[in-house]
Amino acid sequence: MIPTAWFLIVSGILFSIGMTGVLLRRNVLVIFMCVELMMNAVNLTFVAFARSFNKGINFAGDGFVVFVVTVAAAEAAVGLAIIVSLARQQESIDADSIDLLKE
Amino acid sequence: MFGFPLEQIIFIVLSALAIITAMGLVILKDPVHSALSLVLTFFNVAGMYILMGAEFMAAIQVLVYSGAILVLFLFVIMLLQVRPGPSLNPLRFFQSKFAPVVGVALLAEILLVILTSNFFINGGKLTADNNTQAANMQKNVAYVVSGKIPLVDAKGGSLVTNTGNWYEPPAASGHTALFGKELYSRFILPFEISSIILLVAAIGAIVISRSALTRDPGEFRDKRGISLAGAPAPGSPQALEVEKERKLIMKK
Repeated sequence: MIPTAWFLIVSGILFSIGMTGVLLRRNVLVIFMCVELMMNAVNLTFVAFARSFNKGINFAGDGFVVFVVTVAAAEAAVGLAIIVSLARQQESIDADSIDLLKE
Repeated sequence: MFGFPLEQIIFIVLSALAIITAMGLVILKDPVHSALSLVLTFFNVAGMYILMGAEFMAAIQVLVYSGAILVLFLFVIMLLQVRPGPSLNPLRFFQSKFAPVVGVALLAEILLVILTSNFFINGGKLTADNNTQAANMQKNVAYVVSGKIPLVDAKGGSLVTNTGNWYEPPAASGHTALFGKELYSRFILPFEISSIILLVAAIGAIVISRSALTRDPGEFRDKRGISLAGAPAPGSPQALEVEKERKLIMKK
């Protein structure tokens, strides 16, 4: 028996690490990876709560996880395409150098 | 072992590895190392799903996240020739000092919420006393599924009081079979919508990267097999490769 709270704590730690990475790193690719990590932490919470509440009759939490994974895959495809086209235009994927709308 | 059940020891090992590799994702300088570290995190989270009895979630975690998304990331890193740059050093002062503070503050908030919740105080038990809303919700779900208002379950125990923190898989069928039935009946509309989302994302990704391809006046346009990002960065292995080929052509 593993208490649900343990999963929640691990998921909270992973989410905070992901958020720190988003704030700290300047490489757009690594920022994107940190976003994926945050989504994964949220998925862990969903599954933990689904296991905790349902007793095998309610699969809403599992359904959420499947659709979050689907949207994450779609988002990764589009986001990486944007990063590729961005890198073609200005030869850098540093988040600080992306300031086209500034001037 | 150490007074813990085996399950809990496995969980502690998995979570420690997941947290360490997640920190590696943030700390390591080379984006390739970050990506590989993230693969390890995903595998450890998949192990946690298996501990929870959610094998299907573990399968899609490994197949979609570490199999598809991370390979996509590694391909983009390869195409863009991202070199291990100084990642943390020349940060602006505000960013480098402020980000860890915000991260620790968020972690403290999350832990505060969890440690003061019924899950922690009551050992994960969900009773009518300590969480009426959740108990009512569970009653309603049981009502929707069975069609009649359940007050006691088959063993005579009250359904309002949950034994707490664990899901016991039915003996006859696994989690995947039950969830498959649910996915194709109750979640059929979101399932179809998600297929449209995937189609739109695939088309969008092709359109976005193609328009960039036609606009790129790269110096080595005929050497697309080596680099898609125009001239390779000086000093990179790709640049040495291109130099070697150019010398061969000059000899001829």
